[in-house]
Amino acid sequence: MLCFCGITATASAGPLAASSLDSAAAAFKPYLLEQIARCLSATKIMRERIGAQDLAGAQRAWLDARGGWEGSEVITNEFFADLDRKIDAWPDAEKGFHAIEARLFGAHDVKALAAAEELLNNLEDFATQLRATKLTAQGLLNGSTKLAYEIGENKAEGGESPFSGNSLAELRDNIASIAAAYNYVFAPTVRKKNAAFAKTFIKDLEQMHALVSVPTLQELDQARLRMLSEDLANDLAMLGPAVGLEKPGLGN
Amino acid sequence: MNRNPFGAALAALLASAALTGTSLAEFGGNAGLLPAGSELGDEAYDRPLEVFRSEHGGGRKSYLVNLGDVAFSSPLTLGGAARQAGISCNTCHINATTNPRLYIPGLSSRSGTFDTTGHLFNPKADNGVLDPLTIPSLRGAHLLAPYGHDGRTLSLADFVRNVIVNEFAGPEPSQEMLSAIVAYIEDVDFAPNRRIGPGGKLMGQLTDAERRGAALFHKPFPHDPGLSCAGCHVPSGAFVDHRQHDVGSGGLFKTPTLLDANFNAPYFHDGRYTTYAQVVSHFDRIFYLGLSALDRQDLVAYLQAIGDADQALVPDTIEAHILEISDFMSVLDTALPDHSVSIAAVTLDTVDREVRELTEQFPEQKNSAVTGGSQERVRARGALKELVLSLREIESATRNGRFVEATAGLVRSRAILAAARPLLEAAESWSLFNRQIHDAHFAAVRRLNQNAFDPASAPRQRYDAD
Repeated sequence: MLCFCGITATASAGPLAASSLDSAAAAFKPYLLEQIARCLSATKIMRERIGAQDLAGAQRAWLDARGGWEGSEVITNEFFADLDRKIDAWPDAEKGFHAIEARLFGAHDVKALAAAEELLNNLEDFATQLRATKLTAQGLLNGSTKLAYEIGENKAEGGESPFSGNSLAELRDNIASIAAAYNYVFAPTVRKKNAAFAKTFIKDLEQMHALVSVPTLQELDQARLRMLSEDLANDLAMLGPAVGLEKPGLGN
Repeated sequence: MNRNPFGAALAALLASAALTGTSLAEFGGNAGLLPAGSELGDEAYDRPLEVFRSEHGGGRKSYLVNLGDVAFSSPLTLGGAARQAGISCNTCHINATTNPRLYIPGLSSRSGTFDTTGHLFNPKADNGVLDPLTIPSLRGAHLLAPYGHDGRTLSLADFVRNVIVNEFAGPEPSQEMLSAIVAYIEDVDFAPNRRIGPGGKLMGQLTDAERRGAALFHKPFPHDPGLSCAGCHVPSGAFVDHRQHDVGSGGLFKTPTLLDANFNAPYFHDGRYTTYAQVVSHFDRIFYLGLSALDRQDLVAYLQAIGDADQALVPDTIEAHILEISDFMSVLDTALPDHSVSIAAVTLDTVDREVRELTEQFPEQKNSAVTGGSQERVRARGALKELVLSLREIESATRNGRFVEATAGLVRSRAILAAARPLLEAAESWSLFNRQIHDAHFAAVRRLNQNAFDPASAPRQRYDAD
């Protein structure tokens, strides 16, 4: 549990701080666009490899695409719930990453061309909408908190991507996504208000990253991960009022 | 824009994530903690009715019973691989009954069986043979000593300890925890069956078949008049005699109760039979009973009447979950003033898991099998997550010896739970508590799994696959 001593929802943390945070949130967008560009590029390759009946190539591209997607997950549900429902649908045998994953990694076949084309279209829509959307600090705080919580969810049945065995890598991308949002948007304000907290927050992120740096999901300490993820979510929940934002919403 | 917004340590973290994010190290396979093809019975819409002896006549469960329920539901109790896989006593013995759907490749021969001497949970206990046993219901266990299919253990406490320490390689349970688990198990009663009267006599309007079956049940065996069905399955004694017998099934095994037995298939220690008809045929053959086809049908009719219950299963409900969570939390009313850090920890861990499990009853927005009620589901999930985070604060305070703060946290958590209830109820129509939604969700899961099916790597044939 991080100590948030000294940071409280003070009068100094008001609309001005929120406005400055929103500027920082806008500056975070290129990072996210880069993640989505990486995802799009890999998805194009995946579609092409599926068309060429190249299973290994399609699998590799799917994994690359997931890296970019999971690296932007601080915004996916919070800002683009409708597209998230198409792109990252679960459980869905027809559309989205996991429908394709089931084919490529479970059935070991490439019967996923239509799903790959639909995914590509949806990701292109996502990139377009992301460019046009004003990212807010509150939204990024909500997204980061929800993602921090989600990291602690049960992985006993293989986690988010059970067919590919990619769940562990995705956790790492999720943590990196939270770290990036924190550093771009919140860190400068938090460092000014409580340098000790800023250091502890980074330390906690690193602890979580170290925890998921095991070779296999079987070796991941689930209970410890859940504890750290909830601690991190709690800290982010407290961070909101402390920097002039609302307590983050957790629903998704 | 700051072109280098990250500190050195975090930059390294991000760089390493970027590299590992596309790693092929885990390429190609289900990386779950249980073998691919494992089923834990998550799909069940109904759950076994839980009847507590302590609640007969308006009583209530004691602290010890609630603590036992907590420990029974906690993967921490079994430790090791079970803890990693999120498996608790309750996974196999749902509400202290059985789990007819449980199937773990390599440890089960058919659904509802489990090899306690397999490799997965305690390699030291692995005997190199797939010899799974049926998962017994624990209802009425206070009447059913000795314990174990072979009746090798007289004391329920010794039996429970053996399961934890030797079968699952779990941590040595404290005396208090062991007593609590025993108290919980001994408090779970058989599901009521109004047709069974005093002395185990079948009551009410008996059919002709049931009446004839009852007579056959008590009739001495033709080739050994000292034996009868009722001689071992003593009606006045919960249909057991507390002894082991060789009934031609490969050794000495204790007499199982017939109460609730309609819900405890498959039968015999190894689950070789799925129906009463097969069981009756076995005894007919082994003991040369000379039963006619009608006799066998009559015995089956009697067994079905004895093994029935007024209500064995109940639909899963929000209310049932809230009640269970509240009962579990009540343990903290004693543990926190007692400064019992370990008991508070296992309780909070269990409540956390229960609340997370309840959260998953409200499908997230990206669940494409569910339409409608999106905002209601978001609010329900948000409220439950808030509860989880409040529990984590209690856990943190307890771990650091701040018991006053932990007690205040408990009050806050209860308030959050109370505030969550109407939000859960508002979202119920779009939750897995609604059978249509439940079925749509699991149909989608099945379709996805079917699409992931590779005949080349399919597990070997299950005995009950057809």
